[in-house]
Amino acid sequence: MKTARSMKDNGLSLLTIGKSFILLSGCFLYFWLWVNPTLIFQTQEPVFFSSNRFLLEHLTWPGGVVEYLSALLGQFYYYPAAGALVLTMICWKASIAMGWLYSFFKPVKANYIFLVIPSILLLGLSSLYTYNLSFSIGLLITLFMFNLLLKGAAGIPAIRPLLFWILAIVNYYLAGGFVILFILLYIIYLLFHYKKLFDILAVLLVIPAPWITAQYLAYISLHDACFTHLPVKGFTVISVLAWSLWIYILAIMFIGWLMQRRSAAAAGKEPARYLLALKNKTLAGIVQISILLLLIAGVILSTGDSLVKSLLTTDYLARHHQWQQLLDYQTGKSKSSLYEVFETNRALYHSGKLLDEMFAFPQNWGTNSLFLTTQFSELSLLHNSDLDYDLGYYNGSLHWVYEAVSMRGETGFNLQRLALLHLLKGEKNSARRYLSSLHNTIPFKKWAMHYLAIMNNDSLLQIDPELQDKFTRSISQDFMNYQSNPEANLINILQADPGNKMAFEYYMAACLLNRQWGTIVKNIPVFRQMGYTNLPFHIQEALLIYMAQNRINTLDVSDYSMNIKIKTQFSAFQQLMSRFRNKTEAQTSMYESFRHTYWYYALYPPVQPNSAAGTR
Amino acid sequence: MKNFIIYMVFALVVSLAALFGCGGKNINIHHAAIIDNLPAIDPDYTDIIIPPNIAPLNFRIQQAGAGYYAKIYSTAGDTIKVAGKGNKILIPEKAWKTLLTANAGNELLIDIYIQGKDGAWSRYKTITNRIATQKIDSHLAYRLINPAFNYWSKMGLYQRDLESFKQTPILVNRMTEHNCMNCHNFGGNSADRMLFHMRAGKGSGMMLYRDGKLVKVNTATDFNAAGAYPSWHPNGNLIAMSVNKLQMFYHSVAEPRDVIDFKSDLIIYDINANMVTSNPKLADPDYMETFPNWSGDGRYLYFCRAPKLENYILPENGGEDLAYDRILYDLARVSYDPATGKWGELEVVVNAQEINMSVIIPKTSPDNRFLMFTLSRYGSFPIYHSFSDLYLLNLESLECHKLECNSASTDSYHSWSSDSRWFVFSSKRRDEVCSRPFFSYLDENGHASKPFLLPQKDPDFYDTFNKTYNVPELFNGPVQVSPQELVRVAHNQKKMLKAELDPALKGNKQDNTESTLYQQAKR
Repeated sequence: MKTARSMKDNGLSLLTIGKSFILLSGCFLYFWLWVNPTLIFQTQEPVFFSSNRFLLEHLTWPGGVVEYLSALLGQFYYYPAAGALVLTMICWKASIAMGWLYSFFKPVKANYIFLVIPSILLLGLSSLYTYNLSFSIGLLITLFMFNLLLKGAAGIPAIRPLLFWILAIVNYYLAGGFVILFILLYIIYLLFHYKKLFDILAVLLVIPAPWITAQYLAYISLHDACFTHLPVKGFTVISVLAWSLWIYILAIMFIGWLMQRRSAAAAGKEPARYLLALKNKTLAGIVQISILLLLIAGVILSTGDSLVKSLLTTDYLARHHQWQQLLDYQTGKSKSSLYEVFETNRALYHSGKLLDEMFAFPQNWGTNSLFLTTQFSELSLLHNSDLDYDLGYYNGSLHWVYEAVSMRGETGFNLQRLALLHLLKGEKNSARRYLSSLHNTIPFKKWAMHYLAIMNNDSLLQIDPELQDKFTRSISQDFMNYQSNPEANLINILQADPGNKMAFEYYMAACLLNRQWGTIVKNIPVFRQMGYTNLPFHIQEALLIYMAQNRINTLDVSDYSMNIKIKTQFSAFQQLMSRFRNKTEAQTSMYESFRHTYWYYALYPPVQPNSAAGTR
Repeated sequence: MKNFIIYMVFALVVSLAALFGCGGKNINIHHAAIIDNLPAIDPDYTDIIIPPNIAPLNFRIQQAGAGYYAKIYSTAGDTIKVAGKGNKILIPEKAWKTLLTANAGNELLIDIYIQGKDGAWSRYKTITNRIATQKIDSHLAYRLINPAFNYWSKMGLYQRDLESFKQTPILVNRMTEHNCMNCHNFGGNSADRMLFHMRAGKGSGMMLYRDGKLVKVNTATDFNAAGAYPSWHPNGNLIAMSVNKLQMFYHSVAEPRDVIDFKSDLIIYDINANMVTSNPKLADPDYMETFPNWSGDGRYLYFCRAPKLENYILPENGGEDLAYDRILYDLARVSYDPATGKWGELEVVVNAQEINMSVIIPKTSPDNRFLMFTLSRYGSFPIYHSFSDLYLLNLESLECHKLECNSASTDSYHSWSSDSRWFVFSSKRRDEVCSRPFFSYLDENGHASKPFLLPQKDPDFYDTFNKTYNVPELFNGPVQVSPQELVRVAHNQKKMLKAELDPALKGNKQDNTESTLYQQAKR
């Protein structure tokens, strides 16, 4: 058991342990409760299989090991606490690695704060939902390798060039482009420890290694091998933080060795130097904590994005069919991103409220937010599949999910959808293949086992909560799918499956959004055929507009009665409108009184942006 | 530290004891009860004919048991005894190779024993396979790709050594900016004559390797877009290709995908002259010609053709609808004199209207006795048609029959081994989405044996392998050029050969924009 003295000898004071514990606990809670790693999983859907094939495949290219490890650790994002623990451990390991490196600056000692700055930057990076863990893993591997190099060089200085060369190659194999950081660290080291020409030769011999590997050995392009794990695309928060981290590590190593040299030059005259030395320990502590808190606050503020979080939370709730929670989450918003409106409309349908309440939520994207299909994006593919799956249009859903596989790989969500769709289509061998693949994952193993166990028992499949309604929704009549005209698809689906309530409601919702009141009137009898006891609120609102526009007092509504309250409200709407010279003048008043009605949407249809690009 | 070493030594001893203890498990099968059924094994390697140079046919036994054991033997040589690893029978490669080599032409017998819960062993009826005397070509080339709809991302061309389990990349698109690669083809089943196409990105073009020289060729000219579906003339100098305008469309039931060819012609690329040529019989404006294939003697060019698309536009609905399911391709041929380069008359060999089926992917056997093709209800993309089957045409009698190796699922793209006794084909019989390579032996009379699946080291391999084997091609490999060398040449735009257009065709400008059946996924 270590004594306090030996701990102190090792640089581990109780104060340091206490500070570390507080920081790590804070870090863990921040990741767990604020960032929510589940949302990172939702964004990235890291692909990992616990099979030898998956492992061996990743061993065939430089950087494959880092990809493998980040994919493995990324699985834990699925469980918020486990994901938070992984991210916290990575931040902790970064400060440990910095501690290792600082131990080589003796007698110069680093202030604690310098050791944790990389961890704070990693904390900021890790809280960005699109940040890939491979950067953190690559960084840790590189710092570990550099520590090995310094240890080896300190032990047997003569082997230093050879050791550098070997470790650089290993570093490149494990972490791809992080070898650049490794080489830069070594160059800085050589600025202070250069002895022989071999040192320079070793560096010169390493530099072409990636090119030689790409030309003769590896099945990967030089660009991909070097830059896959580095944030080289664009000027983003991720790239700024990531490159700051590199620059910080390089700078601090330079300063450390510089001070070490000065300290050595002044040997016997001065005590060991400290980075950020303050004589007053209390003051030093306050300064340290203040700087730390400021840094953490700065990083957190610069990485927080409430719009992205809102989108991902909505996406998460939709993925897990938590429809009411989704509607509660979206309630009160005046404007939402395309995907949020899309998922809100799905939630409304599944809650039986689409045609009654859809205009109580923002509909600022028109029919785009009903279908998404005109917005080709990596993010929309599985959502498109979701919609067709809900509609019982399984071939459409299959199409989109296979596109999602091409785009994002064999992610858990994609494989789940594929397995279910092939089960619904009676293609059990394909379903089994995808279930067997999911069986090799961590988050979806249990789910896969359930379906593998029941897939050959049709009676169990028919009563499975996920599938029981789906089997009744299959389309037996062939028609050609119109990718660019989803409304035409709805008509085709309705012709092939006239009892398809969702297809009908979506068709009516599209008519509302497109202000096709005549089509709605023509479809009133279908509400009766579908078994609606009352006409939905928004349909009644549309009928009133139709009647007012066409100056008719009565309308055949298939024996439905119009809601008196809606009629009264419409009168109030017309009266309010008549008080203004034009609708532009009336907009504020109308918004205050009628923003949750279809009339307001019909009067002030949104100007639809051309693409989904601006929605994130 | 001392304690640590003691613990480590102890752990090592325990591990070794456990290891040898398991290895020494006594299997007593001498009094095994006899069960008069064939055991269920997967892949189904029963009642098949196999080449003497095929890799071990590892399999798993699909009957419940506490232990598994197999004896594999033939007329000559030692019996291979394999204790199951779980229910998997993993056959030692060296012993397998020795047994097959010593017994070419003999039966290959497999006795399977299963141990019950009570510890007693039962022996199932002997599985009897036959080892052919003829070897199959040593390698199989294929593209591995996700089941593709519109978009692709990862893909690669691979070669599998059929005599072992070794699979190596010919080229993967991770090396070439994730572009598309396809239409791999080997002249005379030789690795000395290889070509494939790359599409999208700076590597685009036809990669052509012949007798030690690798070049990239742009076969697009004023007359044609870049070619596809290549076929090497036996002289090694001419490559027939088709130029297609393919487009995918989607069905609401059964297989979602389908493809229509809007327009197609045939072109001939003369390697020595670096020239593209054609002929009115191969590029008739009134017809869509596709899937060219030189006969084994090089004296005929076989191909498929259908009347041009305008013939299928329905007058109803303002001419918007197309009777895609009425497009039927004939099998046609034009004679060719390799000495003079003269083309003869066009003959329709199989009239699609008469059989009300579409003839696709004709491939003549290297010995020029047979022509194998896929028959489908319509169109020219049988891999998406579950009703596609393989047929064989006897080139002497011009009689054809459905091959015995077909299944209820898609059986399509096929490739001959160089001795015309073996062929490989794509089949979706294992599942409805991913095609797998199956091999079959063709006897002298043109009858195919029960096919067997490409063996894998791990019999569970196909359970989780979600990629599809696309365009399996047999050849005597391995490929002579490394993936890296292919990349160097592909990315060297300055050295790309631009094919010349035959002066006789100049002024005959046509739409030469590339077909976009699949699109590159954004990254």
